[in-house]
Amino acid sequence: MDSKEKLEEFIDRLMAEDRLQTPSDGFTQEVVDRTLAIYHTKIEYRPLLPKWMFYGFGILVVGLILFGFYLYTPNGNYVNYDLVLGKMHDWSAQLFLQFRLSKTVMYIIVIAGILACLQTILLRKHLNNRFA
Amino acid sequence: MDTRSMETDQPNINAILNGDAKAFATLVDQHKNLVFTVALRMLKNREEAEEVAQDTFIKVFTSLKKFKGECKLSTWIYRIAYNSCLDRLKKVKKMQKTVQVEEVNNVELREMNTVFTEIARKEKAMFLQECMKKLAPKDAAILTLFYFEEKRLGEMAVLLNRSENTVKVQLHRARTRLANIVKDRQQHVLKNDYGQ
Repeated sequence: MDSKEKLEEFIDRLMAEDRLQTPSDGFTQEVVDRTLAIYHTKIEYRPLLPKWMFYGFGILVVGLILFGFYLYTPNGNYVNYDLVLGKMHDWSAQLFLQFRLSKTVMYIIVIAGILACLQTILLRKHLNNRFA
Repeated sequence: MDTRSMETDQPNINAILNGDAKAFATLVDQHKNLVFTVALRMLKNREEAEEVAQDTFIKVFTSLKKFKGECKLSTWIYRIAYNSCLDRLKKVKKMQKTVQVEEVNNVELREMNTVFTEIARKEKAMFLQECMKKLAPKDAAILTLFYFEEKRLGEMAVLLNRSENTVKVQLHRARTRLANIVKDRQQHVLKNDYGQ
């Protein structure tokens, strides 16, 4: 018999005398109570967006629908694109008449946009870990 | 209750999932001693062991619906317990350094056997517990789980998430380390008792 087998035999003999330890008396009851508390916890769903945002979004959708009806002409075309583009051109020409955007500012806006996207990913990961 | 003679009264998983407290209490009663012993031998602290053992059963309850029966329920529970202990050890950075494996020769083994035979039966368990305290967490867990869970390498491989060969090597190393601890302890006891 080699030493490996002898060692195994000795440890087998040793471990045959081993006894399991017991936790405190109220262990099972405490575990059951805790699990029952988890089982009976009702999940409360809270809306991710506040109500005013839903109303705002609703108003926007209704506005767009009304705008669609306003643009609707019964001559076969559903939307009078010339009218839309013409209106938009007038509106933007008025609004951006004095507006000049330098390249630097534009790059800053682009970088800020990229950072915002990255932050969204990181924030999502953080929140997932926190509420997992 | 000794787990060597259990697994006869299988708990009703569906009943547990439906919130049957009695069925869950049966499951806890069946496995609590081994879960607690493994936790105690890995963490070396009774309060912490009890806390981790409780958390293990909470995890068992919350994840039971994910249990597909690809291994024995007991193996799955002990795997959760083992991993929870490892997580706790990592958290408190209490991972004990493993002692280098020093092979024990046949003469030493024969001497140890003789001394162990002379120890009174009641004291043997106590002696073993003292030796277990000195063992590294992973070694203590692998020996405890192997000797109380039917001594099957296949189940151990699933439990530890290792290959059977790796488990075999880990088991041999754990045995060797325990033998070394027993040797040192016996020498210490003999020195104290007989001044040898």
